Amino acid sequence: MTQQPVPVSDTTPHSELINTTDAVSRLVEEQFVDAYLHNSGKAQIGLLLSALVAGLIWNDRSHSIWPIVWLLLFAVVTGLRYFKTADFVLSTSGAGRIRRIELTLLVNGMMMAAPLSAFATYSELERVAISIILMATATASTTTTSGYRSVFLAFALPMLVPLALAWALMPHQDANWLSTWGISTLILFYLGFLVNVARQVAAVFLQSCQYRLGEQQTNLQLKAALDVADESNRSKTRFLAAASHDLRQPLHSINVLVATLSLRPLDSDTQEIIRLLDSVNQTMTKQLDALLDLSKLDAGVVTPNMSNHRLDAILQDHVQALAPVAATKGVSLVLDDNPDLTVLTDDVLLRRVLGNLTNNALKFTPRGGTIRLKLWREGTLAHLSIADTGIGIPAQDLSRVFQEFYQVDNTERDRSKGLGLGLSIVQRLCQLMGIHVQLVSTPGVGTTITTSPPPATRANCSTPAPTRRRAPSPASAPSSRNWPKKAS
Amino acid sequence: MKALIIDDHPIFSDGLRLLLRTLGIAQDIETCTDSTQALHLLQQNAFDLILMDWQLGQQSLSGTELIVELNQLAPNARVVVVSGEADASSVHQAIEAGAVGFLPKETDSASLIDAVRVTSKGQIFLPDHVLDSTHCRADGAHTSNKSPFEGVRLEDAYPGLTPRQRDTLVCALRGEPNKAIAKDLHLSEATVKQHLKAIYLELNVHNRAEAVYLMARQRIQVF
Repeated sequence: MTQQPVPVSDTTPHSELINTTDAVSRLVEEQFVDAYLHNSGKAQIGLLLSALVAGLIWNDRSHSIWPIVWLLLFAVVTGLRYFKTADFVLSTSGAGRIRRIELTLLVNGMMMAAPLSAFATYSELERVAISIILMATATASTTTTSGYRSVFLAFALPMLVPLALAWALMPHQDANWLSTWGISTLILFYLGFLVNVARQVAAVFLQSCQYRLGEQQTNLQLKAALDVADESNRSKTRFLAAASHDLRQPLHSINVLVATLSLRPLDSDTQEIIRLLDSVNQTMTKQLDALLDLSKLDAGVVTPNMSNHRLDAILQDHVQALAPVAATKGVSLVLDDNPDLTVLTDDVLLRRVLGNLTNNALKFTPRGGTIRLKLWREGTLAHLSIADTGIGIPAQDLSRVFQEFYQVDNTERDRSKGLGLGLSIVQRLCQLMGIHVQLVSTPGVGTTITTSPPPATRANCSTPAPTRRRAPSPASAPSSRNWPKKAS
Repeated sequence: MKALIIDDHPIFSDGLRLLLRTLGIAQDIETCTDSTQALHLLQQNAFDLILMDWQLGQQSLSGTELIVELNQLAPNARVVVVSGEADASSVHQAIEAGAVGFLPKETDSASLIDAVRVTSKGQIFLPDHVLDSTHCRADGAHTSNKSPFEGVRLEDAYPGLTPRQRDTLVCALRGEPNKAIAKDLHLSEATVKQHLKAIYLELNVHNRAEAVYLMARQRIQVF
């Protein structure tokens, strides 16, 4: 029998796994005791029936009360074994348990051999019957003892050795060589055969224990790996939470100081300095936010909260919120088509996607240009397109605009207009929500981005239709989940 | 007006204190860095306005817990959250807990000044993006286009409310528990509950949190 060596990972914190041989033998002991205690109860019934038959045979030949006393004693021992073996064995530990099982079976085997004391008086038929009983009992014990050699022998030897001796030394009156030494030798052969069977049973048992141990070790390793993964995930979340909170604090402080300073009596040049300082602070804040958002998305700590939402309601809100900004920039904002459409999405994240896309459109559309938003249905799919009349993206750059920090025509790395993270964030958010994104652009004519969120499920819609607006109640007001905050 | 600033970053607190002084909102301003100090200060002083950070670090109570504690210890103070995180769910939690305004730290300086001014004038300030993304049944009729500091007076916006009901509403908006309102206005708790029921019906809202959103959206001069 071969056993694959169980690989033990260096990072495994469970040192008891290192010594595999010890672990196996300990497990074999444990499993054997378990199996024995489980089997021996049922075996007692067979043993008692065998003893009853043997006792009757003995009683026929004997004129003493010994067979009756023996039977009663046997019944008592059987009862004790049935009810008390577990207590007796489990009250000690380790190898002591095996010793106690051996002792139990030794007593039992010796008791089973007691009817042999009257062997000389038995007829041939009775001798055969007694022999069959003892040999069958010994055979059965190969499996009830799981082939554990010392335990099996403790039971079988006290029965079969006296039996062989009895055949050899107490010949029947018409005995020939076969019914004395012949039978005796056959019984010893049979004993040898049983030892072999027991060894094979033990081998199977050992193998099953090793498989089980391997399984236990695999489980421990899996658990350890899972713990490591969990921990690194937690530390990632902790880092991001700390970064989001603490990295931004100095900017917040500058913000409040700039605000205070701007209220002081200042000459116009100083006021201009304050205004620039404020704008630098805002740019830095926005860039840091985008960077942290991207890190959060990459760390996998953002889980979308998907439910059915009215896309037309979200779009209408969005256009209303955006209209004043577009007006200041001199860009006209047109909502072309807005049919009733329900999709499966995370409304908070979807609003961010829309925000980033329209911000881009606004950034690259010159004064007097137009941004058109359109919602339409194609089979079960909903499509939302944002088309601008901006500068457009050259064909060779189309595939790269989703890369982080990539900006078309910005070889000088002028970051005054942001870090170039907007579309990277859009792409990751869309992946999270299963939104298909398509980008079509002609330089000098404009860019159209089409997003296609997955269709709604058969559940209720959680965004109100645009015509019936509700007050914010715990159920309808802001999503209970948002960007991950400080780990607590 | 006496104000308390709770923020784990002392430089921010100092800056905010300078801003409040410069704006002439409050001259007597205490600052502290965690919830234990805050609750200690509250036992010795009566504050009118408490500006608290939403995330005070591991040693402090959570934002929600601190709001509840502050409102219990100082039922007559207005608790306003000043936070770097101003996502809709944080704002919602703060309002539910009893805060009466939410100022984002992350705005341009002009918006920050506006938010502080609006708050000091007795209006409820909530971030625009939160008001935009939450709908209100009563929207439309009362939407005001006036400049942020000149809020509509409560009695003008809701003439259907009796003076007694207005007092009750103001206490409730401030985050006072019903028991404290009853004590302040010399009413029984049952009467307070009845008043609130009538008020929410008049405002067309279900609870205090919805009323806070409504007041913020309509720029109503509450305090």
